[in-house]
Order: sequence, then C-alpha cells, then structure tokens
Amino acid sequence: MRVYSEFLAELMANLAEDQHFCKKYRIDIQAIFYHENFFLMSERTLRKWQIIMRHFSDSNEDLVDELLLRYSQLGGIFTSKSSENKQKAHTFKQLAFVIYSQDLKNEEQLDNLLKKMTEGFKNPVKDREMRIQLFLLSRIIMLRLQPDWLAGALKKLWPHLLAELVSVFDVTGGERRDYWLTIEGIKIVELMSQLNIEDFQMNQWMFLFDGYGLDYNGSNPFPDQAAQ
Amino acid sequence: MCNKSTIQEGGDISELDSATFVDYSGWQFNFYRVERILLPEETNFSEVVTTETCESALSLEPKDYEKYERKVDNVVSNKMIEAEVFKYAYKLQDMLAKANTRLNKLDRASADALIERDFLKKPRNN
Repeated sequence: MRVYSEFLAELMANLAEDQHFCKKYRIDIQAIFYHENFFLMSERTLRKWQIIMRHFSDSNEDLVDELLLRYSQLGGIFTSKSSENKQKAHTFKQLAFVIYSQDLKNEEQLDNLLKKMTEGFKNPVKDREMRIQLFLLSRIIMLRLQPDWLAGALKKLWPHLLAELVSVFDVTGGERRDYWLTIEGIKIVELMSQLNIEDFQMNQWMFLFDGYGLDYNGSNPFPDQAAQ
Repeated sequence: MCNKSTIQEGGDISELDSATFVDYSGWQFNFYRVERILLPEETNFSEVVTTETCESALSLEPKDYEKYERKVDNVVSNKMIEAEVFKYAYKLQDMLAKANTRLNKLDRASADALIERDFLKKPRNN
C-alpha cells in the first residue's frame, strides 16, 4: 500500500509540472488535500506532495485565500467547541503545508493569515493541537518569508507568539508541564536564535541561559544557586 | 565545574571554513568580571574543595588596542605581560566569535527535515 501511494504521488508530481493537468484535475487534487487523513503518509510521499502543491498553487493562486475562508466558516450551532478547534488546527496544518511548499503570493494573503494566527493565539480555549500547529506555521513563516516581509510580519505576530511561549514554558506550582508543547516551543526558540531575529534578541534572556565558560552538568544546580 | 575551554570542546578552529564567518576583526568583546564567587564542592572522598568562578558581563565595542596600553587606575603592572595577555584575549575573543557564528548559522536542510517530520506526526489533541 505504501509503495503504491508513493508511486502514485511520484507520478502525480511529474504530471503536475504540466499546468493543464493541475487545472483539469483541480477538484480531485483538492479533494485529496482537504481529506482529514491527508497527512497519514510516508516522508517520501510528503516530499512528492510538496512538488504537487507547488505546481497546484501556481495554477490556483487563491488556494491560501480558500483555506482562510474555510477556517472562517468552521464551527456552528451543531458543532462542539473541541471539534471546531480540531478542524481549525487541521486547517492551520494545511495552510502550513501550502506555505511550506510554495511561498505566499502577496502581502494581503500574509496579512489575512496573520490575523487568523493572532485569533488562534488569543483563543481562550487552549487546545494543544491548535497551539502545536500555530508554532509549526510560525516556524515555516520564519523560514520561507523574505527578510523585509518577515520583519513586518513579526511586528504583528511576535507579541502573541511571545505570550504563548511564556505560557508554555512558565508552569506554575499546581500545573503539569505539557512536554509536547514544550518541545514545540523549544523548536521556535532555537530557530529564532539561529535566524538572529531582532525582536527575539531583545527577549532572549527569558529563554536562554548564558553559560559563558561554564561546563553545566544537568544533574548539578546552577552556579548561582549553589553559591547561596 | 568551570574554566573549561570552549575551543577544546568545539574542535580545531583553524579547520573551520573562514569564508562562512562574519568579520569581527574591527570589534572586540569585553569580558568584565563583576564579582568573584567561590563554590564549595565535595569530592568523592568527602573532602571539600573550592572552585572559583565569577559573575560576568559582556559588551561589544569597536576594537581599540591602544586604549589598553595606557596605565589604568594607577595600578603598576608589567606592560609586556599585560600586552601579551590582551593579545591572547583578543585572539580568544575572535575565535569564540567565529565559533559562535558557526553555531548560530542556520542549517536549512535540518530545519526543513524537522518540519517534514512534524507534518507527519499524528494530532495530539487534549
């Protein structure tokens, strides 16, 4: 089954180079991509789908707008909040995959995306999967956007991202740490420190321990604690 | 506990590709020792030994070698030794800066691979 799906994905990736193919089979490609089990595939198949979606986005420039519209239409009277959050998290994942496969087309799309991300960060119901997907989308934006677009985007995104990171890392006495979220938070901190992002540099003291010349062994207390 | 060389851990700096580094030659890092701290540590034989470390601060400013050739705070010192110490310190700072730049350089292939694995993870709902 796995070999079969890898073969078909490779065949489609080759055929998708032809713009007519993407236009002719637009509905079929969308149906596969929008399926809730789309991401249940191998790494090799995922790379082929990255190529397919890159060509598909070229012939369908409104794909990001369509996904944003789908996001806005989620929920309703007969949908539970948890089900709505689950669908929203999946839509963020789909958006992340489209942007990962192909850069954003224009700044208006980016603005709309950032608005939805801000809404997601502000969501009072803290759904773990939604937060994980928002972190993933943030990382992809940092990696894929041109520097001047990224600087503008982070001005809007960073305050919310910072608050989210603090809430993930800063666990008070009675709460249990969510290790899955913590790992995702650490990935963001690592990427931002590697990219030398200015907004992050001003706040990096909150996340990074500066151990100049110290050989820190995790089993021992930090030097200042030991000195007390 | 402390005073372990970062350079030894990082390997031979001369082997690193200098073309990928940011040029720090016009800048210097100042390492200020703010306060001396003595850490008592117990050895395997229950003997207490004291390790010295310090609270410190770092700053970055344009390099000015001549500044340190002047006598500071009326402290009489051997100028030759002082000059050698500063020469060593500058060299070390440049090497550290290069090593840090190398560590901070983004490996896009690894970052992309990490993202690909994240896409394939099953949802972790509450």
